[in-house]
Amino acid sequence: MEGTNGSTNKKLGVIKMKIVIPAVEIGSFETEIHENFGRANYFALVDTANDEIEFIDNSAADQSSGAGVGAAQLCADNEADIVAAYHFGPKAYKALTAAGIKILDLTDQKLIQEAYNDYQAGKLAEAEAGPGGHH
Amino acid sequence: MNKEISLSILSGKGGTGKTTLAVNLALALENVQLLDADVEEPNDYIFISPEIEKREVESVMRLIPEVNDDLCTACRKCVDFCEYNALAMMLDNVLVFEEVCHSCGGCKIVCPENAITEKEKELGKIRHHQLDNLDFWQGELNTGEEKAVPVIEKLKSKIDHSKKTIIDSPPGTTCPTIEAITDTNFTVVVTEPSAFGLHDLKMVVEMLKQIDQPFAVIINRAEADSDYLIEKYCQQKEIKVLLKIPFSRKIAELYSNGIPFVNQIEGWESKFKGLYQKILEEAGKYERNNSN
Repeated sequence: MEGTNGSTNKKLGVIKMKIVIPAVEIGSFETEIHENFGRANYFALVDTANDEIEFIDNSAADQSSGAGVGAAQLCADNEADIVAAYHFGPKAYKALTAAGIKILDLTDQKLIQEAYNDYQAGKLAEAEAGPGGHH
Repeated sequence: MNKEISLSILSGKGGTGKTTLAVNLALALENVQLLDADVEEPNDYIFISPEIEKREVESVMRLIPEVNDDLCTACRKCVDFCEYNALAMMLDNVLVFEEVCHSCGGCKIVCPENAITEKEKELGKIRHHQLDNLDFWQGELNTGEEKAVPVIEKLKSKIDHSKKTIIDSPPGTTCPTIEAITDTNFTVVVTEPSAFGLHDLKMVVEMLKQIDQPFAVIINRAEADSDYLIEKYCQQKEIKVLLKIPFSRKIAELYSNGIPFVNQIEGWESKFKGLYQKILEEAGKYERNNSN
């Protein structure tokens, strides 16, 4: 499926994956990863076909409830194939799984670049649902 | 039939003495109804009806949407409508997140295909125990549920205006607390003479003033060298302190054994009766001022 954003210079024969990583601000590969998935300020969308990065607002971050569900919806709407974060709540996990999005756990990575490198090296394990957020 | 008054008992935080006051006051009076509306953690039963779990149960239900996938065209109107992210559209299927659903029914209304119906889910329970001189009701929120207000609403539908009603409210200043105290004639705020107690008392006072609810304060775990913390604040704000329950080993021991101290320690029954008279006076003053 052709992405709606970015995805220029798509190389033939390369499997194109779109990875979402929560980010503290709009920036670059040197930007810090946000500690939360549902309530992250922004999401970095990394295209594996051309190593391009773009940032989107997480419109779910300041909603009163179900931020994880809203954030998962945003990932699905942006045609994410993979989401990598430190922590997923049970609702986000269920929503992402239903969307067929692969869920990967981050551990001690700090910058988006580190998370992306570890993904490419196959070092990221699949996540399990953790406890939810605060109410 | 005489109309009796209803009284809500409140504190800024848990562990201040709401249960102590509610239970002992209820047992000191006659023709009383005690409603435990602290539905996330009801504990009046420990002192009143330890085997409440065996008593009659009424379910409190709420409605949650159910989507018929055969009729759904994935138009997404329901997902876009839901303010609480209780619905998501994943691979053209609507997912329902029951925990965050507020049961507003809006998704059913906006669905152009009539693909959404509603089903009932148990949110909590109401239990009841009629004792000799006390009509005891308890609301309980089921584990995993977040919406306490409908349980409290249902509990309050049991109010019998021919009885003195005492409502043990959820602590704090949020929606469940306000639901519990709304339409009660008077609120008694329980606090303790500590910096925490004062801080949380101030929050509660601010909330009560906003909703124009008449109230007074009682100090629990009162001690001569620290009561000034609360008394000074109450004087400044012209708030009455109606009673002090002392910091006492005897009271604490009885509490830890689930025994109300009102019947165990000489003099307390008449003190609680006196407290009730003061509450009636204060509630009466408020009513007169507001009818002028």
